[in-house]
Amino acid sequence: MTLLRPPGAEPERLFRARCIQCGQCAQQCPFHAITMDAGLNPLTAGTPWVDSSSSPCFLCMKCGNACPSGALKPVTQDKANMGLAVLDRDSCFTWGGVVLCRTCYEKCPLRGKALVLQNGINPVITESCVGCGVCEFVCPRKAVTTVPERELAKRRAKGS
Amino acid sequence: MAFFTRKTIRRCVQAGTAVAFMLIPYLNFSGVHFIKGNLLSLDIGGLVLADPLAALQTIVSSWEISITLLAAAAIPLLLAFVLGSVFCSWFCPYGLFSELVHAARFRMRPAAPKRIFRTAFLPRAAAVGVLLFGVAFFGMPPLLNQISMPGWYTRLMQGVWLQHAVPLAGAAMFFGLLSMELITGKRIWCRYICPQSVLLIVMQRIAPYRWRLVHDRQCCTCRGESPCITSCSLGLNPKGTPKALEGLCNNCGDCVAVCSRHGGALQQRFSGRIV
Repeated sequence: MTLLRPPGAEPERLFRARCIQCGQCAQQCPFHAITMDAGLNPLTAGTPWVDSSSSPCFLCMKCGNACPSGALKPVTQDKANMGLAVLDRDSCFTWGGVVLCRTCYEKCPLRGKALVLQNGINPVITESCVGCGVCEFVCPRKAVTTVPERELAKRRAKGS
Repeated sequence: MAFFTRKTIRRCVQAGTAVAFMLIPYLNFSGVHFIKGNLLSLDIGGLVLADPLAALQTIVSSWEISITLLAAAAIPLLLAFVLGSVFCSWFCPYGLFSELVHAARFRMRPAAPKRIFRTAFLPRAAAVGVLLFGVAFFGMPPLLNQISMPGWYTRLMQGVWLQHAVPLAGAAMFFGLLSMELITGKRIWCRYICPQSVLLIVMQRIAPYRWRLVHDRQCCTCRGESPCITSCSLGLNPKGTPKALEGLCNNCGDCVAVCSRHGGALQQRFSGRIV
């Protein structure tokens, strides 16, 4: 399973090497969005990830300052680089022409940059999306999935 | 008998540490962030502390030196350099539970502790060295953190308060080890395995002048199986050769307390290396 890392995380391999598993990012997170992995895989156990189904990352950017070992960097919102949201237009209310729903647009922390409205109506996720998972969390149709950065890197390497 | 004996003070500090790490995640959960972290790395109002082995693994694994981590690891190492590995006997939550289990077992079935190995430090240090090399060579995450008992105790508390879930691997290891120690009556983990104490022991070994156990032969009045030997929960012989004690005694002072009711031959004080 590829985990959605907190904002400002280094690339996965370096992140794992640097993460000291102290959980300070999780303890600092005001939204309790960061979970310390409780799984049995010794390579990832204790490392933080964002469980956007229970609470997404609202990009408050406090965790980067809490990290003592440099696995998370204090960065600005637009450089959070967690992943990318993918919108399934077939299940989206607005794209389907069912209802004029703008929930994802209203809630996006990078509204207007990461998420724009095509012709003022249809939501489109742009390259500026950092993958915080808010739209996935709020979407009434569950039409959005957040792809973690590592998964993206893998796909890029494959060239697809 | 005075309440504030050396042992009760030590127990209070140990229990205080164990309770503090129950409270810290709860405080964080309620929005207080003055103190946060676990025993792998702790932040007290901006002062960062770290388990030296965890810091070392992070450094060799990412192959870069972080000043924060170096400073964070230097504090516990300096403490061990000056006072010996008092972290194990005064602060480590696993040490507390292990000692309590050992004491309970001893009360149930008092038996003279049999010392199997005189020292098991070098093989342990070698094993840690090999694992560190593996971590460095393959760029692995800090794997030794997964067998850190103080780390797991604090991670369990973080799991319970922050995620309302228990990390099963850690819980199984923690309580499994405690029950093994209850069955065997030996403090297996602290005495023979704990990788986290290796760096502390190295520090106390290389310290030329530190807080250490001193045995004055001339005051010693006991012969044979003396109370100090039975009192040592690690199964060491406090009257033995200083060389054997050097690497394993964690300055808990239990033997000193017992000895003060006899000849008072055992004392703890700042002293140079005893040859």
